[in-house]
Amino acid sequence: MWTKGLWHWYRGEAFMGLERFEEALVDLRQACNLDYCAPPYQEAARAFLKLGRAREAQAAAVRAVMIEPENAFSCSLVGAAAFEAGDYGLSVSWSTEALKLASGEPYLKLAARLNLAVALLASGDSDATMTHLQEALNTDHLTVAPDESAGLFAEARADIKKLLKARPDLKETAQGVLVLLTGSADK
Amino acid sequence: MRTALSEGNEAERSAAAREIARWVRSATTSGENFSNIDAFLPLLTEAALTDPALCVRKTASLALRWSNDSDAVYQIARDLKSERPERRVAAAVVLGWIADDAATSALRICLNQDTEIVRVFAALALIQIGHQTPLPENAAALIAAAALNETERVGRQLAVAALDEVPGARDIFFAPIESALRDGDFKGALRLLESRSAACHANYVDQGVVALVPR
Repeated sequence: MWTKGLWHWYRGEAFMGLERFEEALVDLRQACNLDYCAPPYQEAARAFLKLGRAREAQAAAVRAVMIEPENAFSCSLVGAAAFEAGDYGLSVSWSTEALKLASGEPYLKLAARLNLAVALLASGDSDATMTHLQEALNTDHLTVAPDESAGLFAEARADIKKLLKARPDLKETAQGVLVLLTGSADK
Repeated sequence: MRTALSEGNEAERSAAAREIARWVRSATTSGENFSNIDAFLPLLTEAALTDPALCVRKTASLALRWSNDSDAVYQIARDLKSERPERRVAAAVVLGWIADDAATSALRICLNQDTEIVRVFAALALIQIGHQTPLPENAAALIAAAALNETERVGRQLAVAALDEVPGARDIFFAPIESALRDGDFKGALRLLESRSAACHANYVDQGVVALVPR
């Protein structure tokens, strides 16, 4: 519930939009201090992720989950932060939870599924990766706008390319996945 | 303590008001004779009505509330007849904080006869005293506009504090920012926030709202 931190929240959002993440964090921290609600923690987690500070992102996202345990976006952020920190097993767990919670929200569901697919790939479970990717590719564009889903697929591709640098042993599977995802972006 | 409350800086005045309030409350609840209270009442009344800091005004008002002194209520209610609307607003707010039924009739007169913004604060005060009172229909818009545009400091401070008390007022106050963010005009949103920062600086952004209605 917003009361006192709303001004800082909006300011944090504006800085996020301008990709001035350090400045966003100053305001988001203030918003977190003034109000007990999940959104400023979620945005702080996003800002930390953009700055490559995965552990801090994870801590902020976990706080968001503590405030609203049923929030799919918060769980998805913990999964994303764990992935960035190289903790792929944890990323699979949180992305699975996010997928479960996002059942009624198509956009969040697609985001969670793609996160889960990439985390599974990193964990070496290529069958499960392909299953979730196929599900993601079958997403109805009437429920998720094409530009929004294209953005999510682009993020997934970027994550896989990053993963390839860290895990050359996954090259074969990852490149197969990239071909599949690139095809999807061209649709 | 008297010097600190009337002449100190904000931190000193705030600490002095808290100490006096604590003292008054302790004397009232224990039933002990508090012989010096009369000497403090004019000072507390003055602080409640005119101190530049909202937190000092509120604490002084609470001290008056605990003193159970009806004279202070009547004295403050006299300000409801001031020629300056900001004095009338300040008086209505203090009477709401004191929450003494003795102020009801004076507040009801304001509710029916005063300018729109004073009516809103009179209604809020009556609610705090315990009278079910509908807020004027355009209360949210009036409070949002006063919080943004009121040029007199106290009036603006009280309007900003009332943003959370009048349903819908905060939404109206922040609506242009919501709209700019939605449209991707992030620089515009920052500009709009800066203009609201000046409005909110003392009691909304830095310290949080000093709620008019205790929760």
